[in-house]
Amino acid sequence: MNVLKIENLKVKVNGNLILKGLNLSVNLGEIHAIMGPNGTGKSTLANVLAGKPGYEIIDGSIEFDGKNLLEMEPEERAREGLFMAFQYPIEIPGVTNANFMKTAVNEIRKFRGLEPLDAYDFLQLMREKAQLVGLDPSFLNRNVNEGFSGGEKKRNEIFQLALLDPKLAILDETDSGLDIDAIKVVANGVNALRTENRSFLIITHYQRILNYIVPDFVHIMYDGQIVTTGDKSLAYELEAKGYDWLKNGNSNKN
Amino acid sequence: MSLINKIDELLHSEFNILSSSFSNKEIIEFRRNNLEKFLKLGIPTFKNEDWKYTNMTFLNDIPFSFSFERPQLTQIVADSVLSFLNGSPSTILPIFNGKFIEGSAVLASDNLLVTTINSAFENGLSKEAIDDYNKFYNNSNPFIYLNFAMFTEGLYITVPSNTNFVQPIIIILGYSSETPFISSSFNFIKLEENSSANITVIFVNESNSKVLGNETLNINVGKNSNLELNILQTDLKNLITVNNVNVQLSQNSSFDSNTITLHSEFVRNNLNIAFEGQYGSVKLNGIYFVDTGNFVDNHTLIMHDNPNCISDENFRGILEGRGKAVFTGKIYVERDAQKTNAYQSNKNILLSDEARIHTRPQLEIYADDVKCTHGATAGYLDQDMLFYLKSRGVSHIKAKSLLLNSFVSENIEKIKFNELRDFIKQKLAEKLNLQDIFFCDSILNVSKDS
Repeated sequence: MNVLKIENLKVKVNGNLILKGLNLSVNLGEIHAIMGPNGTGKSTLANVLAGKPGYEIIDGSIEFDGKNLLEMEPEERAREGLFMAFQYPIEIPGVTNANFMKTAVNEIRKFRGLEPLDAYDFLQLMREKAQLVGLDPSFLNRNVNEGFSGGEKKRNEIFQLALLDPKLAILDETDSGLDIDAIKVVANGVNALRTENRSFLIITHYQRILNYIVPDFVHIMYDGQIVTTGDKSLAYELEAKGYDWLKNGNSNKN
Repeated sequence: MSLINKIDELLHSEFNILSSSFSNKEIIEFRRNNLEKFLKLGIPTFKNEDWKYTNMTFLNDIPFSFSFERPQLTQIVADSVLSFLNGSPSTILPIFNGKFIEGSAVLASDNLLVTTINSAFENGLSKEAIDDYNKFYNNSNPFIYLNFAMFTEGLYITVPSNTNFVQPIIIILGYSSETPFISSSFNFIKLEENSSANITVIFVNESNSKVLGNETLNINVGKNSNLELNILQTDLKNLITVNNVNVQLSQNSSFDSNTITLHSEFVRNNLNIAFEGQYGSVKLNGIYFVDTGNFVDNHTLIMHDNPNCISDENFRGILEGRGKAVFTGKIYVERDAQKTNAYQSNKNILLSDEARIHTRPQLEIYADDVKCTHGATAGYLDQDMLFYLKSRGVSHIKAKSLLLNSFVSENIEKIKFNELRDFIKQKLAEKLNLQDIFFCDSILNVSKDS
C-alpha cells in the first residue's frame, strides 16, 4: 500500500525551478534512500514534504496515506504521521525538550482520538526512547538543541521520531557532519524503529549511512528529478563511480 | 478647568487638612515647595522629552478628587493577591488609597522596623534625606513633586545592619474608589550596612472609576547590602499607574529589580538609580505584555557617578493587538566613573502590525575607560523556530505561545523569590494558554526524585 505517492512534482524556490517533475512512490514498511549531488533538490523535496513555507508548487501532486498532502498545514502533516528529521535542527532557547515533546505527543494523541498521557507515563516513555538513541535523560530538562553538539542534535531528531511514532520518516542528510560512531548510533535507532507500519525516506549525499541502514530501494536524484532507481547495490556503484558518472549522462533514465 | 488649576485649588484649600497630620514645620514647608514646583511644571505633554511618547494630558479631563479617609482592605482582595505565597511566612504591608492599613499588616519578624512615614518625620527623619531624591528629576517629572506635595501616608521601613532578611516583604499598593481620585503614598526603605532583603510591590485595583496611583518608593541601600525589588502590575484596569522608584546605592551594594507588567491599562514606571559609592551593582530586568487598550512605559535612569560600578538592564516585551509600549534607558557615566560597565538590552516581539513600541537607549558617557553596550530590537516571531515546532504536530497557536514563553523565560528565571517566580510563570502560562506545560516542569522534577 502506498504511503507516499509523488507525481510530476515541480517546485520553484525564489523563482527558480528546482524540482522538475519528480515521481516517487513509497509503500508502507519500505526504506527508500535518495542520493544525489549537492544542489540537485534533495532538501527541497524534504522541505516540501514537511510543509516548510517559501516553496512554490508549480505542478504535480503529493498523496500521503491517500490524502492530499499539499493542502495540509505542517502540523496537520505531522499529526497524520509524517515526520522530517531536520538537516539543521533548530535551537530553541527557553523551551525544554520535555515541554516541547509533551506538547507534540499530546497534540498528536488528541488528533488520533487518544487520551493525553499523564506526566508519569510520559516521562517513562521519554526515558525509554532517550535510551534508544543513547541520550542521557537529563537532556529532557535542557532547552531544545541549545548548546547541543552536532551528534546530539541528530540523535535528538531520532529521539523525536521514536516518540512521535510516524508512518513516514524523512531523514534529511541526518548523517552529514557526523563521525562514524555517531552515524552508527543514529542508524541503530532507525533500525530499531523499523516496522512494517513505518516507511523511511533517507536523503543522503554519501553512501556510508547505507552500510548501517539497508534500504529496499535506492533512487538517484539529479537536476530536480529521480533519474535512476535500483536496490542497495546502486549505492555502492555510485560510491565507486562518483557523481560525475551521472553528469556524464551514463545512467539509465527511468 | 484644567487639572493643574483644580489641583492648585484643591491643594490650597485642603492643604491644611493634608498637613494636619504633621506638626513638623519642615515637612509642611517641604510639601509647599514641591507643590510650587509641580504647579510650575504642570502635567507633562509630548513636548517634554521624557514624556514624548506618553501623553498625560488626558488627566485634565478626569474629575479627580483626593481621598483622605482610611479605607478598609477587603479580605477577598488581600487573599487573592497573596494566594501565591501558599502560606509561606512573609511580611505583608498593605497600603490602600495611599494609607497604610496597619490592622491587616503581618510582620513576620521583629528584625524589620516598620513605621509610617508620617511618624518617621515626627520622630526626626530629616527632609534632606528625602529632598536628595529630587536630583533624579531635574524638572522632568512633575509627578514626583505632586507626590511629595500631597502624599497621604506611606511606609518607613528599616532593615537593620547585619540582618539578612530572608523572608519576603510584600507591599500591596491597593486602590478602591467609586469616584475618580488621586492616590499618593510616600515610601522610604532603608537597608543599613551589611544587610539584605527581598521586597515585592504588588499593585491591585478594585476601583470602578479612574484612579491615578502616583507613588514613590525611595530606597537607600547601605554599604555591602543587597536588595531585590520585584514590581508586579497585572491586569490593572482603571488605574493610571505612575510608579516612581528612586534608589541610592552605597559602596559595594547591589540592587536587582524585576518589573513585571502584564495586560495593564496604563503604567509608567520611573526607575532611577544612582551609584553613591564604588563597586555597586544594579540589575534592572523587566517583562511587559501589552494588548489592545494596554500601555506601558518603562523609563529608566542610571547615574554612574562613581567608578567600578556595574549596571545591567534587560527588558523584554510582547506586543499584541493595538498594544503600545515605551522603553527609555538613560545611562549617565560621569567623568570620574572609570571602569564602569553598563549593559542595556530591550527586545520586543510584535504580534500584530498595529502594535507600537518606542525604544530609546540614551547613553551619555564622559569617562574614557568604560564598557557600555546597548541594543534594542523589535521583530516578529522566528519563522524557522515556528516551523520546527509545527513540524512536530504542535498547533500554530501553541507553537507561538511556546516561543513567546521562551522569549521571556530568561528574565523570569532571574527572580530569586521562588513563590513569586512560580506565580509569574503560571500567570504567563495562563495568558499564553500553556497551563498544562507549566505544570509539566514541576511534575518532571517530582518524578525524578522518586
